[in-house]
Amino acid sequence: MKKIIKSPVGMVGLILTSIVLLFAIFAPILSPHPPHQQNITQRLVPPAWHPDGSSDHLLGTDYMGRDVFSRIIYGSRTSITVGITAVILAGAIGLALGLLSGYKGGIWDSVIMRFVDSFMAIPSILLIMLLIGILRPGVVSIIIILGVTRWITYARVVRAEVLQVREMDYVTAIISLGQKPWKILLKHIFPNISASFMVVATLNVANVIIAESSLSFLGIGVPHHVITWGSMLAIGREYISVAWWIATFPGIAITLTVLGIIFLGDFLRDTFDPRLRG
Amino acid sequence: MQQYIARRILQGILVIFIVTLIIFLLVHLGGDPVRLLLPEEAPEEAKEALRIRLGLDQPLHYRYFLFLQGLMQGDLGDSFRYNEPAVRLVMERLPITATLAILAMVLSTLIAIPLGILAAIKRNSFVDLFASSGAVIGRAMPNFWLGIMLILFFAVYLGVLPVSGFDSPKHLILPVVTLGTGMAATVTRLVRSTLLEVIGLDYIRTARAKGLSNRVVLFKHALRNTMIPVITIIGLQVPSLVTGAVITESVFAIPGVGRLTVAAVSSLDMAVVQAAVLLVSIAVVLVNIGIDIIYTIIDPRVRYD
Amino acid sequence: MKSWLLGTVSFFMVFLLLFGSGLAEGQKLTIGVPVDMVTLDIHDHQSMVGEAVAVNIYDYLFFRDKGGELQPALAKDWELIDDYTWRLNLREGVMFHNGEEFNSQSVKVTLERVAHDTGLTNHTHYSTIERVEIIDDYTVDIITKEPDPILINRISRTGSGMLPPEYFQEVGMEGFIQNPIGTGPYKFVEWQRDGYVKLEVFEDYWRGKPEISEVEFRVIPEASTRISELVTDGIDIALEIPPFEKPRIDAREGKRTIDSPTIRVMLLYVRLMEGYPTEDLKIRMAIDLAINRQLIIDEFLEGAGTPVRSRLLPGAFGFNETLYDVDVYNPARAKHLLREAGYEDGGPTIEIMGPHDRHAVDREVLEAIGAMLEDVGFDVNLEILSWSAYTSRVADRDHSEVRWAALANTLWDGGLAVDYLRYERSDEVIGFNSPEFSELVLAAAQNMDLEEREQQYQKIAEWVAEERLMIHLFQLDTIYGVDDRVTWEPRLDEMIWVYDISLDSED
Repeated sequence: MKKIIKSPVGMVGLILTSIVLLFAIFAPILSPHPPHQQNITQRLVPPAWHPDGSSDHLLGTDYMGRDVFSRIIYGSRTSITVGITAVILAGAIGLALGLLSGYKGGIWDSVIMRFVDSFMAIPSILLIMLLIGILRPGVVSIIIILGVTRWITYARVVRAEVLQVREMDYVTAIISLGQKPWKILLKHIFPNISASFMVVATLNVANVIIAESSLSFLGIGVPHHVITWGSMLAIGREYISVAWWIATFPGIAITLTVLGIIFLGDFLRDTFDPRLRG
Repeated sequence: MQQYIARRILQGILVIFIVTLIIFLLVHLGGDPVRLLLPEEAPEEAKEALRIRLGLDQPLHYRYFLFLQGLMQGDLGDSFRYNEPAVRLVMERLPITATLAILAMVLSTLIAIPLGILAAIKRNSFVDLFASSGAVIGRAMPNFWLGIMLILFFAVYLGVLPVSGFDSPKHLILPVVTLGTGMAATVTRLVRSTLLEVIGLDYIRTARAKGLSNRVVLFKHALRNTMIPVITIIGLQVPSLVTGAVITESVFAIPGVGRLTVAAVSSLDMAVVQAAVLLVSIAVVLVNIGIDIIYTIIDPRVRYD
Repeated sequence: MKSWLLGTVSFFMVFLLLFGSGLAEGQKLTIGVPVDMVTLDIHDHQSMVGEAVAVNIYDYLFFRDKGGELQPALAKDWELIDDYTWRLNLREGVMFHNGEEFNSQSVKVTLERVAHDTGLTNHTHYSTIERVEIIDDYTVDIITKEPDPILINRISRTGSGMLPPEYFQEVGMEGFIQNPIGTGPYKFVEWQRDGYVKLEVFEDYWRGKPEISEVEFRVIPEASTRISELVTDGIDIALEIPPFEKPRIDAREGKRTIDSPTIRVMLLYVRLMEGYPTEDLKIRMAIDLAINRQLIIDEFLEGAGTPVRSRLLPGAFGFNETLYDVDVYNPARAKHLLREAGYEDGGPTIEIMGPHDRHAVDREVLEAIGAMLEDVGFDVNLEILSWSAYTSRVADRDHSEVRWAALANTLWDGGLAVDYLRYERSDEVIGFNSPEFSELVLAAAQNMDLEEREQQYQKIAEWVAEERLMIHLFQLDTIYGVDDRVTWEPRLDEMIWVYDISLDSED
């Protein structure tokens, strides 16, 4: 804990990420207006610091008179929810396959690694679009799809760690003594890989958030009525010449969120496992 | 050398096979492929014809064979929206996307490599700070937002560049910059950190002790060793470059494969999506093989496998 | 030997470059449109944009002028021989783009194709035609199955272009749409899907050589991009300008906006069959009364629209004054109706499906309606899709209670306004089944007594409005963004007839 206070990068990351998490968890309390509340006669009001702005709407209103700041707060819910759930899913798959590959080795390893190479060659958004077509759009399917397409980094990291640990003398000894494999995994391997796992997971949340907003931007993401920064940006684009704030603030929100997570991830990496650098 | 090239090509072919297998399994095991590839209101004869073509009454491995056969013959079904073969639609637009991606890759490497080197050499200086923070912001900023902001500034506000389309060299500037930024950010960070590591290596210090001038040491040995992992990673970035291209095409209304596929997904025209994923992935693998082989020719010491 | 060959070749190349470009000189008009055509088969679509392009390639037998009055075109005049027979006298000396001559054979082949092929989208509008009899090269008799008072309207609307019989029969529709041929002022050059349609001038056009030599309809789905293209000289005309962008365009030197009324009405189709909450008249009425049309018009259209309770606008046959410029907005009554229908605690859940990119204001109107319905107690699910996704879903009949639509009445007749309710497919799609109503509609459709017919249609329109068989919203105007070099008066039917447009040359 003390370490993070000393690191400026870590601090910035922690602060930004905490803000976003607070927004997501306490949205109903923090949000000055209900995010869906329309006010047709108050459309396209500029941010508060603008001469035509109003203190009632810090970041202005959108094309239906809804408060932009409130929508940004609620938008964090989608990003965080999708981000964390998809990452947990991806982590589970990656962990399983990485363990399998690293521990069992041999043919399992070769097959899984070849599979990984091929998977990586497919541009993620194309694979996502194929899966959207197969599973049909929806919040749950988007989460599943994002999870299922991101397991690779975990698998690799886990596999590398497992391979390393496996080679250690005392582990070889334990294996030859006949202990059950999954006990070995649990007691000896898990603790060692959890650090790098956390680092990968953190950075992956950032990737998923960008992926989700890209999909929403293209109009093929979560359903329309769910507030998400990506779709705010996409729609805001139409009004950019008369209301630049509708598109700009969601973009800033995404950038700062991702930035915060990357900084946090970098800090974690530097602390726990400098080998992962680069 | 030739052995390496042959091995690399074989390896690539294997990867391509597995890619086709993955896509085949997703399409055929994820529900009824006929329902996927044809709309509800399609006439029953069309659905029946498709069932026969896909060999749905046959065992799975036979169906995969038919699938591969279709791919070789350039027949992956028809788009029901456009009433044209999906393969043709994709191949018509592939050059445009490829142009965009290649230009972006060239631009970003031209900027990122020198910048990364500079940042490493002058570590913790202003240049380093500038490069590093620029890189991290470039990595965090969604590229569609960057594109919109660039359009707002250069096309709408200043009026010096066109807003959309792909007709003239001028049209290329903003999209290429938008697409290249993400990759440039990643590569800059990579070059910087790799070079820093390499400089710290023992043998460099030894070489210095032998009396060669600082510069010679740096440029010859360190750079060469940096380039190996960097080029590898650039090759690995190609799929994400394509992902970025899909989004960039939508922002700038560029008639490439990306925009085609997004429109196809929106209207669930899955024959097009399937063809796009297959053909583009194969192209990516080929490009990767190409990069590896070219690099080996340039620097035969490399046998990284 | 080699050098003189090289010299000659280069001489010719220079020659061609200098004179070729001179020959190719002429003006090009570029028009930015929000959605792409659906197909080049004029009988298989109902798309306004598709037709806006098609009117340049083909001519109709009768063509309406800017104000909506029918004028002779490929047909000079018509004569009613009896209740079932219409004699047309055709224009002589008209050529198709491929040199074929326009004559009775063309009318026969074209009309009989769409009248007999039940699979075509436009078939239902021509299904009253039984056959076409050739009297002589320039006289035809159109024979109808039943008395059809609006036959002339039918052959002068969307999809009424005349096709070249020899070429068409030779290549079939498959071949025809690769290279369509008509008698219109412009020849087809190229269509790149979701990209553009290119046309070039037909010098031997029968009305006289058109001024503009090249036309491109470019598909630019995002309004802001369309406008940016206009102000940066990428295109000359931009369709569907959102009202809030007017100041930006008008402020630009050399550009202006044109406000133009249209015959387009935005409305909501509702499902009337069992299983849907909208089966209940009270629910439909509640929807109707919950919508504050005037507010939507004032805030989103900046006043450029009129609330209506019918698709028939002034000038259309069967126009009913009591249903025009009247807003039944009454949220208190709507809430009351919901309670009466058994929904005291809110609900029912209504799903409304619509596009966001056909018109500039689509998304806003849909979201406003959603909020207004929620205000009176409905639970609303809005499905706002891209135009291509939306049209796919409509074709698949894949929608729930309520579906948006914006329809122009190019028949200018009461018949079209209730076509949807008349045909067999309506049963399955919306579940309306009233024999009394169908009888009245059928009677009106075949009534050759125009006065009686008019009254029948007015009655029908009232019926539709009271029963909320469809929920009409408003007639809307449209705004075009135009370069000052362009001289043009837009048409009520939103056809972009380039023949009428002139372009000052660039300086």
